[in-house]
Amino acid sequence: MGGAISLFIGVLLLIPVTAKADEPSKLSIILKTAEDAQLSRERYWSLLLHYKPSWSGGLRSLIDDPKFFLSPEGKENPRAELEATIRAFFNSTGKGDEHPRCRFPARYAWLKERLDMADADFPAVDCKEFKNKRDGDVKPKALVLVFPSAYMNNPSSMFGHTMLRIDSAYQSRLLSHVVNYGADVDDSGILYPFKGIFGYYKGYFKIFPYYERIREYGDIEQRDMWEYQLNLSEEEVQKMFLHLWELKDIYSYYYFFDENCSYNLLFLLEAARPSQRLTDGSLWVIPVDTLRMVNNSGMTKGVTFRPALSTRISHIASFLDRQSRRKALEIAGGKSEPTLVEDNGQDRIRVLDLAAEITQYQYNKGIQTKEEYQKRYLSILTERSKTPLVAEDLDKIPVPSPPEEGHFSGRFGLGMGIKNGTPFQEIRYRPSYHSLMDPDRGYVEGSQVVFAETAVRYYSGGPVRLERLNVIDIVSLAPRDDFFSPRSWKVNTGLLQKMGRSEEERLTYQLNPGVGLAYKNTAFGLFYTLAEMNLLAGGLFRDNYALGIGLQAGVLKKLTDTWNVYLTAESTFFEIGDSFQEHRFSAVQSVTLSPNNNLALSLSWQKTFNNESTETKCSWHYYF
Amino acid sequence: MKRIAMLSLFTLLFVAAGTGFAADRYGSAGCGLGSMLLGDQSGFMQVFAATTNGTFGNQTFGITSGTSNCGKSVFASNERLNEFVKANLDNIARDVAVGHGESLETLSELLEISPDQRQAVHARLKANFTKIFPSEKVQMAEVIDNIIRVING
Repeated sequence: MGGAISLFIGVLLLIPVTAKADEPSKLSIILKTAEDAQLSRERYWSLLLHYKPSWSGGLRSLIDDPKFFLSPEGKENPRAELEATIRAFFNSTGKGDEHPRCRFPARYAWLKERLDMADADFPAVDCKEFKNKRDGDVKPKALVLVFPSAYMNNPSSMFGHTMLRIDSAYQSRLLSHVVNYGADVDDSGILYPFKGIFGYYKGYFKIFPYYERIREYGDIEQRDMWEYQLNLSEEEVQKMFLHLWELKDIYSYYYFFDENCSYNLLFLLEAARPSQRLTDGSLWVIPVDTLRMVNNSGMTKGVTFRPALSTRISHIASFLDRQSRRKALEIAGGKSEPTLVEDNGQDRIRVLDLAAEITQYQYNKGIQTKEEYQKRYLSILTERSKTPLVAEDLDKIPVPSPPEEGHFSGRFGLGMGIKNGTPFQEIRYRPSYHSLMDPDRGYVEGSQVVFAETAVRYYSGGPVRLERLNVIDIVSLAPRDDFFSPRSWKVNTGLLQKMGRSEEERLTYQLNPGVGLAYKNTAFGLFYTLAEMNLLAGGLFRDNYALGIGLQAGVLKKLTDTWNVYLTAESTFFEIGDSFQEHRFSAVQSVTLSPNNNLALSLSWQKTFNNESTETKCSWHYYF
Repeated sequence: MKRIAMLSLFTLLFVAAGTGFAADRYGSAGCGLGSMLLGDQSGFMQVFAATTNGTFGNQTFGITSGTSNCGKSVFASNERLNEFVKANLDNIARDVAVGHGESLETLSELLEISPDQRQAVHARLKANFTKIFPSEKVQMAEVIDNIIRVING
């Protein structure tokens, strides 16, 4: 069929020397050929235009920018868009890079191929800027999926992030560029999450030098990065770039949970290799799930770990005794001279390396001024340059479990137990993502991000009832040490069953934020204390609400790789809206049976309004 | 689902704002150590080796940093090299002091030093650290020239 088309057009093109009056008919024949071949129904066309089935049964592009469509009906009409595109290739008055052929090089390349035509068959255009960027600057050759791990102190980064790195012929990866899809957030007010979820912000593709992203994620936000090489050929990578160029300065509304940074990158991978179906839909796109999907599709061929600055600091420090660590801190803080490091062996190198990294860290954090930093950093390095040359890094950083090896994000749980002498059964479900007592392989230790966890309980002889709805339950326990002083925090909001003055429980709304400090040592594991506020609302209370302040303390200890224990105690004093005290104690242990299976046993005691209750529960969790 | 999550995030932000998570500082401009610039992030492509043909007056297509205010190396006219050194000066300084590292490898690649010569060149740079970075106020263009002098010297 391609041959027939080419012959047809070939014959047609023998005539161009004749009068201009023939031109429209040449175009109409091409249009008819495209129409007869039903090109607008082909997958690649759908893919390039980001068409997806719409609610009304037709197709609708996920791209919202009108500039992306050459037909006014383009967003919903693939056929009209195809026709308008072919017409524009021939008729547009756009000059140079503004010409549709230059603006939409992937459409052009695909149509040219499908219609069996050559460049010479189209009016000549010089896409100078496009060629400069592609062949001069970026030189696409290979692709790498980059995953910076979760960043708890920014709500939009709690699930991690994904980017696509374009490698060139350079050996050094620092000379690569990286493609990022992100929302153009021009304000950071209180409405930011609201706007982010409802698609208020415009999302754009952007290209950065890779070293700049390393600085942002690794040196400033302290996120370890994972780099997954993809097995795409150079030709496939070039196809990706053609489509990427089409998305230059084109927006789509950004939706935090689905049309997000991770989902949109998948279009680029599909453009490179259309046989992969990656964008076909899921309501909930979490970066690590994207990573798994790409991994499972057989597109990856190896992974590299790039530790964050803080990971490097902790690693070097782990080889030093307390005195040497102090020394490094003093040097970084300008309280001691690097020339005064006595030991002349490997520890001298470590102390100087550590001091240099800490200086950088403190400067990035704004703890040191630029003048202090320049002076200290250079004097440390001057001393370091006098140490004997060691060919390799002294202490290689061990590679932790990669994120895709962690448990899946969804969790289903079955539990049974006894509360105040009454047996119960329980079903629990949450769509995402990770809780403190889940297997922590592949996740950031001490962090919990749970959305929409729902538990339904049945007490013998009673009705089935909603036990708990954790709309959001986030905990970030970041241990402090000699080098880092992060704050730990939590926020929980949702519905839960609570006892009031009588022993009868009622569904109550809770909002419970807290902030505090965490530490870690080998004997106790991770331990913390948080000052908290608790707002409860429901019929249990005198004024239908109660506001209190409290204190929570806990210890999270990893006994073995698969066995965790977590103890917490919490006291809250309510004074506004109603007046009472609440004390809670709980002990939970969990055993990981396989990456996606775990068992938990919990004991808890609680006293509210002088009513005591105890509960014992055993549950099984399955991750999917 | 989205609505519920929205309410939650709303709450979360309220708390986060309340407990005062300040944004970390993103470096500051300059041409010496500590100029780890994270440029303005508008525009589609922030390539670092701009083909210097003056097309960058266009606001929607800016480059990150540019070396125009930092003087030019006497020896190296290679724009990509200048950009890289400017944006990675601190890491290059560390790698030179250590004697190896990713930033130093990159620099050698940009200077077209063949891989079999690099170990010797890096050792030489390490031994001459103070000639390359004579003071904390050293500027990026001087560093490039000092490096080239040490290699050729």
